This record gives sequence, C-alpha cells and structure tokens, in this order.
Amino acid sequence: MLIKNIKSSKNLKQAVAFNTFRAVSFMVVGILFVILGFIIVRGISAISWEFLTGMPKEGMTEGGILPAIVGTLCLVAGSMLFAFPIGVLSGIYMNEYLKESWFKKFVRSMTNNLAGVPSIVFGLFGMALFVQDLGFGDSIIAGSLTLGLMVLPIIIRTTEEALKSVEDSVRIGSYALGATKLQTIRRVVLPICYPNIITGLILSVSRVSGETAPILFTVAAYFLPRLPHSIFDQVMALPYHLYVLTTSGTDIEKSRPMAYGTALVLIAIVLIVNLFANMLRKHYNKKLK
Amino acid sequence: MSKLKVEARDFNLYYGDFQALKNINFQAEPNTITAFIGPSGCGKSTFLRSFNRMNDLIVGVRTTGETTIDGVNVYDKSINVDELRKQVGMVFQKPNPFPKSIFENVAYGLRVNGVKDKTFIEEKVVSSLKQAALWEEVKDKLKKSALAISGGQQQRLCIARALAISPSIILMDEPASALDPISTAKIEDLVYELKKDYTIIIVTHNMQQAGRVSDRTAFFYMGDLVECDDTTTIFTNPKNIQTQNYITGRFG
Amino acid sequence: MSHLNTELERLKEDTIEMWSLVISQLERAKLAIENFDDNLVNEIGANEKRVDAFELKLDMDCENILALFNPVANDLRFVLSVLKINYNLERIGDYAKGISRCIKQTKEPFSDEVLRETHIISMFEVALDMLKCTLESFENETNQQAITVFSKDEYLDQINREANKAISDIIKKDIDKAEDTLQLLSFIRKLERVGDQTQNIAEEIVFYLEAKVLKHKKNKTL
Repeated sequence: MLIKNIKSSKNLKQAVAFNTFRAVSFMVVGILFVILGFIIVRGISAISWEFLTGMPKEGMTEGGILPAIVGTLCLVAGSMLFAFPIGVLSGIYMNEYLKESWFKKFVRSMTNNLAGVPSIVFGLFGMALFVQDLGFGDSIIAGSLTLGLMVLPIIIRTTEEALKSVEDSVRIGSYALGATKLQTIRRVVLPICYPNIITGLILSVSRVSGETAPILFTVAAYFLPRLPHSIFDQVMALPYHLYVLTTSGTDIEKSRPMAYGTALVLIAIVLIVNLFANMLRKHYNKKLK
Repeated sequence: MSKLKVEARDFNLYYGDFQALKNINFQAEPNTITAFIGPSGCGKSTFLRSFNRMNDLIVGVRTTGETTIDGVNVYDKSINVDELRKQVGMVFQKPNPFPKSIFENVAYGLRVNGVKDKTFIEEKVVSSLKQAALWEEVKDKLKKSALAISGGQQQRLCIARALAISPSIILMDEPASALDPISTAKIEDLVYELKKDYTIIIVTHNMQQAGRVSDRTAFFYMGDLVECDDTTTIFTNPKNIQTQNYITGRFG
Repeated sequence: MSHLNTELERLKEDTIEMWSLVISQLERAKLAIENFDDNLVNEIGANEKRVDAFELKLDMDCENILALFNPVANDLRFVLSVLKINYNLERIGDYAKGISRCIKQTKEPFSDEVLRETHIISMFEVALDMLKCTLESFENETNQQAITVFSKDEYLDQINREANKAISDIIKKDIDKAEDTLQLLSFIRKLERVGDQTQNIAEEIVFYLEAKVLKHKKNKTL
C-alpha cells in the first residue's frame, strides 16, 4: 500500500512535469505559426509577378520591390564573401595553431564580446570607418563590410567549436603517416567540420539578411528605383524597406499590404537560403558516414 | 650479432619537470617483434612514441640521449620529423580511420607524401589491404566509408594505412585493447605474419598477448626499463623480481 | 594458421620424432639380443643421449607454450599429455639402454632355445607393437589403436608373473650359465615395465582426445 502511494505520487509529479514541458513546447511552436500565418495571410495578396520584378512606384504604394530584393542579396553575398573566409581562417588559427595562453583567452573573450555588441553600434562604426574615413560613401561595400564585421564572431566561434569537436586521434593518425599540420587540417580535419561550419554560415546569413541597424547609415537607400551597377552604389534592402513602408512612407495606409508582402519575401529568402544550406550540410554529413 | 634496427642509448624524456623515461638502453633487431609491458604510466607508450617523435606534439617535452633507427639518431637536428614518420608506421589503441572511403584511407599516406601516379596508388592500396588481411572483406566496398566497417576491420584498415607508406618499422600502441577476442586474434595473427617484412614494437596491457606474439619482451616500471629479454625467458624465468611480480599478476 | 597452432604442430612433430627414436632403440635392443651384436649395443648408448636431449627440449617447449600461450581445452590437454608422454618415452629409452648394458655384461650369446622358452623375443615384439599402436593413435588423433594396448599388456604381465619359474628352470638345467640367465630375468622385468609405460602413454592419449581419465581404473574402456 505504502509502495503504491509513493509510486502514484511519483507518477503524478512525472505527469505534471511532462505535460508542462509539452504545453510550453506547443506554445512556442504555436506562436511561430501564428506569426508566419499572420504574415502570409496579410502579405500573400501583395505578391505578384510585378511585385517581385518591378520597381517601386507612386511613392512606394504600388509597383514592386525588386531593388530591395537585389540589394539584400548583394549585401548577403558581399558580407559573406568578406566574413566567411576571414572567420573560418581565424577560427582555424585560434583552434589549431594558437597555443593555450592568456592571449588566446583574451582573443576569445573579445570575440564573444564582439558578438554581444548591439547592431546599431556596428552601424555607427561602419559609417565612421567605411563610409567616411575610407570614403566608400553609402555603398554596398560599406554595408557588406559592416554586416560582415557583425557576424564575424559567429563564424569564428562556430568554426572553432567545429574544429574542437574533431577527435585528436584523427589528427594524430594523420601526423603518424607523415602528413604536415597544414595537410592534416586541409585533408582530414576540415572535411569533418564542413557540416558544422555550414551551420555557422546559415546563422550568419539569417542574421545579415534581417538586420536593419547596421545598414541604416552605411548603404540603405530610402527610395532608389533602379538596380545597382557597382559595389559603390547605394541600394535598397528588404528590412529597411519594410521599416520605411511601415513608418515613413508617403501613404502608410496604402502601402500596408506592400509592407506585409515585403516581410513575406524576406522570410522566404531566409527560408530558402536555410534550406539550401541544410541540403549542403546533409551532403557533407553523408560523405562522412 | 645482426645489425640493429632500433636502438636507444641513455635515453631520457621529460614532461616539464616530470621525468617519464629514465636512462633507457634498448635494442631491437630487424624482423623481430618486441612487446612493451608494464603498469599504466610506466612509460612504455611514451617510449614507443619516441621512435617516431609523436611526443613532439605534447607541449614541454624534452629529451636527452639517443634513439636510433638504422643507426641514425631520430632526435638529430637534421632530421625532418615528417620524413621520419614515413619510415615508421604507427597503429593506435582506438581504431582511428579518417572519415573517408576505405580506398582513400589507405591512399592518404601516399597522397600527403606527394605520390600522384594513379596506378601506383591503386596497386599499393590493394597490396596493403591484402597484407593487412582485409582485402577479401572489403574488396567490393572500397568506395564505402571506412566508418561503416567493424572495429576489428577498422583496426586492420589502420594497419593497412600504415603499411601503404612502406615503413620498415611498425609501432603499435595497444592495437587490440578496444577489440573483441576474435578481432584480437586476427590482429595478433596479422602481427605475427608482418614480422617477415617489418620490425615491430607493440605496447600491450595484455600479458598473454605479449607472450603470444612477441620474440622479445621489455618490462617498464616507473620510467625504468627494468628487464628486456627473450619473451620465453621473461615468461618462464625473469631475472628481476619486479618483472616476475608483474607478469604473475602480483602487482600493478 | 595461428601462432599457437604452429607451435603445437611443431611440438607434435618433435614428439613423434622422439617416439620413433625410442622405438628404434628398443628394436636395436631386440636385435642385439638375437645377434649378440656389440655395435648395436654401442649405438644404443649413443642414441640414448639424443633421447635425453629430446626430453629436455620437449619439456622446455611445453613450458614455453604454457607460459606464452596459456592454452585451454583440447590445446591444454594436448600440451599436458605431451609433457607426460615425453616422460614415459624417456623412461622406455632408459630401459632400452638398461637392456643394452646387460647385454654387454653377458659373456655368451643366448641360445635360440633359451630365448624361446623365456618368450623374450615375443615380449619385445608385443612391446614394440604397443608402442607403434600408440604412436599411430597420437599421429592420427584417434584412440582405436591406443586402447588395444591395455589387453596386449596382459601378455607381458603374464610372462613376467611366470618368469621366476621359467628362469629357475633354465638355471637348474645349466648352472654354469646362471649369471647370464639372470640377465634374461632383468630383460623380462624391464620389458614388463615398458608395457606399463606404454599403457600410461595410451592413457594420456585418451585423456587428450576424450578428456577421460583412465588412470588407476581396472576396466580401461571408454
């Protein structure tokens, strides 16, 4: 009888805990779906061929958002072109070459701090350095560099973590065959890391494509109904365009559907990039198994 | 007396302030199997790793004295460590195949050493797998990942990988300690076969294994090479009381 | 083939070689009595050293195999039985040597009549047959031949039991040759011992093959 009682009280606790966890999880998923649904429902009516391929017209209350789409893609590509190689290389240096010392600890904590800096501060810094001091002006290159700087810590950290997870036995096995350190890293260690490094890339892309603050002072144009010709051109970008449409358009009420459409496109782009990166990660994972 | 393949003269090794090997004098003739036995932390693995300088990877390692291969001091300044490691194959405790195909695992040593000739690489991969008694089991799945085969097969793959770079010496650090008895027996038979072509030094925690495979046995204790003699002598009539206590399981 | 198998195979070959050597020693002893041949006597003396060397070698090999390979089950029984067979073979070698020494002390050849009356030659033949049967068993790893020795040994025992009477009859007939005739008694005693040793060997073979202990059993059936 006693045993039975203890058992039932235990079971009750189990049940309460389990159901609480389940409720919370469902809630999170629910909220996510509500947001997505909200944007899709409001935005889907705005989506059309013209919306995706046309220039904004009539004070951005009509026409399309092509310049913003292209602008965002340019910024994603530009920032990754800059941040990805630098981030991966410094991650490799940090984990493979730099010996454990106060300097390494210092660099690592600085990297972490950098990741915590608010994005608007990056924007301000980008404006001061790239736009003014280096004289790039408001341009794709200035914006890309600023965004790149912002996601650098993410890429460095994920690269470092990925390298750290590679077992030492594999490295030692390679050295024992007469391979140099560089050969070992390039031929054995990095291939193992690709899936995890790509995860870092996904995070960075999502971050870059959605940020408004860093591009505010460095690249984003309020209204520029043409496509960029060079990296020194200003462009429109989806997040900033969204901001403009919602807060300071010529006719906010009229451009509301356009705003939801823009949000939908932004989400779709992020989703598509993620899907693509996931496929890439699966591909490399498969190669390892 | 035939020419010595491996020798250590007054060899000392320090990890920082800790002396891991104390004045080791050791010799091994070509085409023999020497087993290193002794309790954990006695220095046997450290000594094994001195022959291909794998200890260099550890921070704060310092050595005095000599270890020689074919009469050449491997700690000489003129020695290129990567070149040295090509002459000395090594097999580790846990099978550590690369996450590549079976073929690429064996070809790896050749590729990093700059071999480009495709037919040569193919021939070498096949012959190494045959030598490691693995060919029959994997010949139809050379393109498959090395992680998909069993632990015992992985270990033989690691042996094949070491053989592919044509070393003259093979160092084995407890090569069967992570394997089941059948795989262990296969590895032991393989080691015994390889004696024809290689000089082998094998570290083992398993006394019976030392008895089964080796010609000579060296007993290490607290960084000292206590006794090194024919395996039959060590196992039937050790000279040193510590050796006897260890092999009879009375300590350690 | 595994290392242990190679070692066991070698041990078996060496044992068979020693066995054949001991058989040839006994055959020489038989011929030496029949022909009263001094050369054969000397040969036995020389070969006895080889038998002793074999004994030491097999002992050492067994020790090494036990120490290095820790054999179990049939492998262990094999090594243990070789260890004992080796001991018994060496004893048989000693008897051959003992017989040869007695021949040396004999002044005159034995007459055919005396040899027939004492059944010495047929004792030799039975003892040799027993040894060959056990050797065959050992080689082929079957026990059919080995178990035949238990009944064959009874013949040797019987002659041994009647030996006192037979020998004293001969002495009575020719008292001058009493010293030589007494040598015949020691041959009979020794050959009887050879039979016993061979029985021990057969028991070891059965132990190796069947894991059955026949020692000290009256009824030596499987």
